[in-house]
Amino acid sequence: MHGFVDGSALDFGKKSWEDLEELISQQINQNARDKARYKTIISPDHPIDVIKDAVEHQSQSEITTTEEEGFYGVNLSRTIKRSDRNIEGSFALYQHKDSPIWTAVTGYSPDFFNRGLCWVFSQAEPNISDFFVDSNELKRVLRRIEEKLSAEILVSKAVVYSRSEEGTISFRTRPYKAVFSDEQLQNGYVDKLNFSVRRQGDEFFSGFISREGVTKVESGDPQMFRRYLLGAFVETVTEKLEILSQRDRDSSNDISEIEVEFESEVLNSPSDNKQLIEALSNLKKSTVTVYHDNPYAHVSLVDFVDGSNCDIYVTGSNSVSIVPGHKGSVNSLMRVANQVSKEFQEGGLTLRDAPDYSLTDFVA
Amino acid sequence: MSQSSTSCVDRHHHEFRTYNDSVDVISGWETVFGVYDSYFSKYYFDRFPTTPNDSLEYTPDFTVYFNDQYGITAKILPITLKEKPPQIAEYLFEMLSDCDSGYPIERSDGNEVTPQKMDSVVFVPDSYSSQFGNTLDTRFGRGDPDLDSNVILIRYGMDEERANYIFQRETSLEEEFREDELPNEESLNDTIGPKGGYQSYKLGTREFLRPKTKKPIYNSPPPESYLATYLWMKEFPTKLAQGDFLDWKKGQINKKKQISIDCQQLAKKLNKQSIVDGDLQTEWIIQTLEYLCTTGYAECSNGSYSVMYTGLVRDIDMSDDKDRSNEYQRATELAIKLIRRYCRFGEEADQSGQVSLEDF
Repeated sequence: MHGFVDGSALDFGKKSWEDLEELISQQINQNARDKARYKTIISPDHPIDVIKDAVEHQSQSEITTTEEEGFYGVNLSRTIKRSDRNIEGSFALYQHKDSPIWTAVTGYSPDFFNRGLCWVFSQAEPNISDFFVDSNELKRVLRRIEEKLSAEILVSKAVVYSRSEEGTISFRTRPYKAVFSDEQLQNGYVDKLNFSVRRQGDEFFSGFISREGVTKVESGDPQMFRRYLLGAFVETVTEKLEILSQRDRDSSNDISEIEVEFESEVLNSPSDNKQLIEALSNLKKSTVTVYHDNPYAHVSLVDFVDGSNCDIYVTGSNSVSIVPGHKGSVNSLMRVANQVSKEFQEGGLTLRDAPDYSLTDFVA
Repeated sequence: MSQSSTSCVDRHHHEFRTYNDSVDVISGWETVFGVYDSYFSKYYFDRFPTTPNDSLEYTPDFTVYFNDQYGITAKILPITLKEKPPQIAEYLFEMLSDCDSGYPIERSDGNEVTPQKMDSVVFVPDSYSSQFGNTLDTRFGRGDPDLDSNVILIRYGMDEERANYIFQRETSLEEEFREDELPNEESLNDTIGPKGGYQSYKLGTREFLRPKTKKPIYNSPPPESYLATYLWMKEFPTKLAQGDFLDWKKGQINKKKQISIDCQQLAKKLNKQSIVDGDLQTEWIIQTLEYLCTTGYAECSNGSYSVMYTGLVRDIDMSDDKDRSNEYQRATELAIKLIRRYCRFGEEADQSGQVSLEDF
């Protein structure tokens, strides 16, 4: 089922989530090469309706879905036009409690995972949205697992991107905290990690985590992987969603100000402003207008994915504010925040309330 | 690009930036005067005051109603390339005289009243503030013009290091706010005025971003390039259907797809929904669409306009296909792109005598 054990997507009839996790456990623990691949997404509307609608618009693609106990089964077949290659497989999709956060899992090959499962979600953008967790948030996810399981987390492979140099892949096995104190992170970010979670030599699970919502369990207990790793991942995404959801000005004319606060003073000069503007203008499927670039910066951005727009202001030497327009979807705000994080600098997101001023506040 | 075209680009971009700076200043002072909102039930900051006299070169850029006893009119003087300070002073005298004879200002209930006492605030760029203060002082000294209102001159400039606008009283003209009606704890004269030792105010993006985002236009006609970017970023996309975005996503970008614009309807929508209580003139939108026609991004037929929004989208990689991303040039920033196209095609038209877009 969904690529597990028999490697095909046969219909076993009604299956519970527990049965599926048992299959996952058998597969990954019996064959060292097999993995369960997960993709977590945001979908405020029911994702089954959304992906069916998105695939309907595509030629040479077919999707069927089934409702199982506690999750949905999705069978997908598509032909890639350029290569005339057929991609076929299935995945399971489940919701994290009542949240708009859902996770899909498959035992099919990386080819199906990338060109089937992930392709479906990308076709459903902006109704289904990717998200990102920055280096600090990745670290927080791992720390939560460490604390809850009183476990040791060792990283066996880390991909760290630098904005000034080539990205690096490190195969050094080391405690996870060492990855996040890497010098490269001063002007870069952690993109993905392979890790194992263990206590006194006994492994709970080992797997993979990336900043853009892809996770894998390679061995160990998939139930613990779901509960602790995906659970911590979802907590982090939920916090971010609360900041970025319903921030457009449609319902009321009130302004929302989403502040990105950087750890150091990265906006000290006109060339820093230029770097930020460059990063924003590199966002795919968008265009920018620069209203001011020196000594302060104000950029307006329109997102051609769904017509959302926002204004971005440099508000201090370590902060930028994103102000959504009358249309400002979660998908678009997530794209903008991710772009700042990847190509300029990582920073924490908060909502900034309208200040209450007195005249003395303006005195220089 | 020819030399004349380069200067055309510089000139247009200067106008774009100057207008934007004025919006910053007005937005910053909307925040400053906003401290009085909770003290007066009908307090209102109006950045679209009515024109006192159509023949005037200058009109107030904003007014502030406190109560029936006190109000303020304000003018931001430009960092100008066109006019010299003496000429600017003459325009200002005309405006001040006209306002002085009874200028009704709007309050929050929408009614217009002329408060018993009105002062005028004039913001003058650092570059000519001292000379300008002396000119005003001399003229007021000899009663030419003879005004009831006080004129408070505030010079402004940019603190390059801290990226704030800095405002300070220009003391060559010694007139202050008559602020008897204002609360003692929020005294302008005790901070920026004589009792406060003429301290300066600093206003940065934190202070002005909220009013600026809500109202990026003010009483003066915006340069076409400025209004064009606003419409392009924020209004034209609202005219597109979800199907258009889906088509773009699939790479099916219909270059003939056009957005029809009814200028009067658009002005109404902007003033009601987008720039609430705004007063954008239909004429400004028509001029901006004419400008877009010159850039080749709009067409006019029998007085109605169509915008080729997809013209720009076609320049941008809308596919998720990594192999094809090299086929696209990186998108240029929109204001410069529009200005360059305007200067290029506008100049060619002037030189060749072409009159219609078809000729391009």
